[in-house]
Amino acid sequence: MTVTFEVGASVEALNAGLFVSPGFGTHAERIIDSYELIYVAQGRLDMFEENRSFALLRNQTLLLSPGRRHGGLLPYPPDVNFYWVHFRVRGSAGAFPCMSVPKVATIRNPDSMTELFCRFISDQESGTLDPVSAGHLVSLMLCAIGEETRGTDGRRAAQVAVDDHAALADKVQTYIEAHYPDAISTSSIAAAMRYNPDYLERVFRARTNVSILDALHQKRIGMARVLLHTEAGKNINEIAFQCGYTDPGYFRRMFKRVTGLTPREFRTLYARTHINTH
Amino acid sequence: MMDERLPLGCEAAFEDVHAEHLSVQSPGIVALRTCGEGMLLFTVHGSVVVETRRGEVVLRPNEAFLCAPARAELGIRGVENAELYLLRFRQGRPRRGAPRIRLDVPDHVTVLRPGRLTSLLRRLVDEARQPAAARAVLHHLVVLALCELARSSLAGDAAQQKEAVLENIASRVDAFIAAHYHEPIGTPDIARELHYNPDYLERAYRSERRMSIREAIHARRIKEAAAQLLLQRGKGVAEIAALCGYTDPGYFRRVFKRATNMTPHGWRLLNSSALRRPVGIGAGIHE
Repeated sequence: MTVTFEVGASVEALNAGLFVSPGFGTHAERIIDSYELIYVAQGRLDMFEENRSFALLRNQTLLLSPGRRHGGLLPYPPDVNFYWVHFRVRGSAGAFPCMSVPKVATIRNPDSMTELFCRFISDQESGTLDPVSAGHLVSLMLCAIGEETRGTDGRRAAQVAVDDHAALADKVQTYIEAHYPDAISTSSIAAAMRYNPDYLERVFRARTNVSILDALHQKRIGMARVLLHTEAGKNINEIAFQCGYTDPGYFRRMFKRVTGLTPREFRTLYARTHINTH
Repeated sequence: MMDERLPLGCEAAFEDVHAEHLSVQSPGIVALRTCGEGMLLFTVHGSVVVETRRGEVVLRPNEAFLCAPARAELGIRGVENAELYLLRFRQGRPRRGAPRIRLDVPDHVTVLRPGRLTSLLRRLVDEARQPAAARAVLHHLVVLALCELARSSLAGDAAQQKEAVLENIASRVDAFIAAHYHEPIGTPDIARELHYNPDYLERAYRSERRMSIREAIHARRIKEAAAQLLLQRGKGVAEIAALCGYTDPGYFRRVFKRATNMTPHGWRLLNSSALRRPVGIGAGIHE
C-alpha cells in the first residue's frame, strides 16, 4: 500500500559538482539562465557579478543570479576547491512569501552543508537522484545560508536580545571554535577565560541547553564529518587526532553517539563524487 | 549587503514535526503514541510489533513503517531489544497555486540505504530539539526522509548493496585521479594515499570499472588535454601535455593518438571552426 503526499516543488535543481583547482585557468565569464550557488570548501575564490566583486574564503557561499554576467576575477589558486549547484525557482516572486538569501554568507555548520552537497552529487552520479530530493536538498542549502522571512514585507525574524550571559556563552563557543583540535576541557576553558568552571557551565547551559563538553564534542564531531568526506587519503585514526581526540576508540564511540553511524559507515554513505577542473 | 529574494515561502507543508530516537526493551514494553497526522517508524536494530487498529505489523531491522494520517493511535511493543526512530508530522495545506509534486510512499518497506535514512532522522532529532527550530528546515528534512522510503520500493536489489563497497573504492580512486591528474601519479601513489594494498586496489578498481587504474589516469589526462587544446589555443602541444601530467610530449602524442586515433594537432584543427562543436571523447565543459 502506498500513501500519497503533495510536497512543494518550488526549487528545480539542475546539476552539481565539486571543482578542484588544477592550478591554472580562470572561471569562465558567462550569463546563464539559472541560479548558481557556490560553496568554497577550501582556499580563496575571486568572482564578479555585473559590477560587484566577491572575495570568497573557506566556508563562504555565493549566490549568482540568472541573467547576470559573472565570472572569475583572478586565476584559480592551486589550493582552491568549491562545490557548485545550478537550480531554478518555479514560483513567481509576487505571489508567494519570499526567503531572503544573502549573496555572500559564512556557513556556521560546514558539516551539514558539505553533507548536503555530497548527498546530491553522489545520487546524481549514480543516476538515482529524484527531482523531489534534489529540489529539497537545494532548499536546505538555501535555508542554511538564508533566514526565512515571514510575509512579503521582508521583515526579519526577531533578533535575540544580547545580554552579558549571552555574550559570555558566545565567548565560550568562540573559544571552542578556535581550540577544538587541542586538548581542552571545561576546566581548561574556564581557566583560560578566568571564570569559575561551575559558573561558566551554568551560564553556558542556560543559554544553549547543552553542556560545554557537549558543545566541544559537537564541534569536533562536526569537523570529523567534513574531513571524512573531504580527506579521502586520511584514515579514521588520523581524522580523530586532527579533531582533538587522542583515543580513536573514544572518538568512534562519540561519533556513533552523535551521528547514529560509525565513522566508516558515514564515510561510505556518499560513494560517488563529480569532480571538474575547468 | 544586498540579499536575493526567492519566492520559497510557500513551501512549509509539513508542520509540528517531532523526532525521537528510542530504545525499546524486550519483552513487552509498550510505547503508546497518538498518531494525529503522520508518523514514520524506522527500526535500526531489533524488531518491534506495531499495533494498529487494523491489526499488527512486525517491523524487522532496517524496515520502515508509515502511518497514514487517517489512522488513530498505535502501540509499539518490543520483541527484542530494539533501537528505532520515530517521526511525527502534520501535513499542512500548501498555498494555492504553489508548485508541488505528488510523492507516493510505501507504508511498509525495507529501507534500501539505512545509513542515509539514519543520517536524515538523526538530523531531524537534533533540529527538532532546538528551541527555535526553523520550520522550513524540518519540512525539507521530512520530505527527504519520505523520498528515501519512496526509492526503497523501486527495484530494491540486494546486489546493489554488495557492490557498494567496491563502488566506493573505485569512486575514491576516480576522485583522486580527477584532483591530481596533472601531477606525476601512478597506481602505487594512489594506493598509498588511500591506504590500500596496490594489488587489491587494482583488482577492486578493475572489477568495477573494467579498466586498470593506469588506463583510467590516461583516460582522464587525455580527456582534459582534449578540452585544454581547444580552450587554450595560444598554447603549444608540449605545454598542454605538461598541464595534463605528461612531461614527455612525444609520449603524450602517442597516448593521445592511441586513445583518439588523431594527433593532438589534428584534433585541434578538426575542431578549429568556431561553428563546430567538439566531437567525440567527451571534451565538453562540465559546468
